[in-house]
Amino acid sequence: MRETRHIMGMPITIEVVGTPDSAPLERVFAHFEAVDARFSPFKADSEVSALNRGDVPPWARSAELEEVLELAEQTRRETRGYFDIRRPSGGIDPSGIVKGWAIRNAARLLADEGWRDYCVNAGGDIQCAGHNAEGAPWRIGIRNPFNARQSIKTLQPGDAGIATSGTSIRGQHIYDPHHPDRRLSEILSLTVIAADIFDADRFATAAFAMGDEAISFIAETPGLEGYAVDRHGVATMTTGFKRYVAHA
Amino acid sequence: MKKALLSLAVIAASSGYVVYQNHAAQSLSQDNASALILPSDASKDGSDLSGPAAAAVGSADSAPAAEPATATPPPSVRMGSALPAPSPAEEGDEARKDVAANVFSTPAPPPAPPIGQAAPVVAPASPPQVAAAAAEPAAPAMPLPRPRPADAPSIVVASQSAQSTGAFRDGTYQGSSANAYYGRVQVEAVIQGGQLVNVKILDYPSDRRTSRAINSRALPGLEREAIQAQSAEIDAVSGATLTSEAFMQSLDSALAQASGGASGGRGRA
Repeated sequence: MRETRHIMGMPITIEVVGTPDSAPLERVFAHFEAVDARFSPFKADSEVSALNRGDVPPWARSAELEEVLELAEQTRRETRGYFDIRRPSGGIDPSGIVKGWAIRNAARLLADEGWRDYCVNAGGDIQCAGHNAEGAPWRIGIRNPFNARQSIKTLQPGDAGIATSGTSIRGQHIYDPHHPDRRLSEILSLTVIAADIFDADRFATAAFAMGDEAISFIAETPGLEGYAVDRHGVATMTTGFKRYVAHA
Repeated sequence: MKKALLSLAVIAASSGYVVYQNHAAQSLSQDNASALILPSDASKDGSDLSGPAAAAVGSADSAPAAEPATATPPPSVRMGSALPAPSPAEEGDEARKDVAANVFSTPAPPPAPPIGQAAPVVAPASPPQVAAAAAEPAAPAMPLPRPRPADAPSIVVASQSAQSTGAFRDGTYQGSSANAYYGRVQVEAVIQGGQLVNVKILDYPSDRRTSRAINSRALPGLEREAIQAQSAEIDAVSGATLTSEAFMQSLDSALAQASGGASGGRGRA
């Protein structure tokens, strides 16, 4: 059973193999709705928006918010500050950590219910388990940053999580007119595979901002494999990435 | 969210701009779709193409570029190949996708969102040239940016309705603020002479920190390859297209105001 809904500003596809029942999908979608309701900085009545207004004293924070804040701080340290949910103008935007966290929790929700074959795809960040409806390993493509209708790699991540960070506008030199010499992205796409989607997502997000150094950062961080595509269509991958590549 | 004024509008005096190459080879229908074509910064990109990239993409001369090689300003409006039809459900219906063999022959603009579209964009290329590209699916070359036209507008968008009826009213229109998950995207569209001549990004997700200068290292073990389109069937696709959808949503809403279709437009001549 598979369904896609738009939540948190992105398409979220849930597939659970081996049941015509939509109830597990409903529970997962409800989970994402709840995450959005709590963490969206674009919803005035979310806990994050209240926090940003100064309306939430530390003792009143929800356990989930505390957890996310702690994970964000941990990620900030692990990425030498390249990942930072604090906004320059004040307040926080935890979107970069909430996404992978929510996907991981969605997968756990299904596993805890006893499902062994499923796939959770939120905006291109994916956590699967087991096998697809044909009984084969899940096959995940990496989208071609030059052509959204193609993929440039076929992967079988197994139970690993896979996340891709990318530039929004293909091949464009977007620049800040105040710093015209500073290009905003040296690489167009960075795909990270990690034991779970939470790690894949936060490191893909953090590393993308490092431009040319991104793939080196992935290579030197234990437990991560990566595939970066530059604006010339040349990809650089870490040594262990090839073991995830599907063969025929 | 920090509002950074990012401007796509580039005129001859500016440092650079980039082209989308739209190929008729990919157009499968006349569905309305909007996209942008910007002149490219050929001098910057062309000279960078060396080493593995050049070897991988083959001869630049054989690139199935949609644009003519001569540096002429894009024609005012040309009816030509329609754009690849957007697939609104693309993100959701990823299963069992068969993909084209050629990774560069059909570069597409960002997928358009499933809302009212502006009419097709026209690639400023002669149709025979594009048709020739369609007949050579095997060429793996990346379409190279062409020389920057001297006084080309930064963006050329042609729409059937705009050409025949002048449906875009001159003025400046702010698009809606679209949700790109990591932030919001909002664009401002400038219409002159009935055409879109400039798109300014008013708001853009700022979680992507600007790269800091750090020492470049070449780690041993990193392997490089030219990307290649895959034809295997897949269950899902990992990729980042979110902000581009938001960009197109915001642009479409601006163009809708320019067409007089939306209320609350802030057009001013």
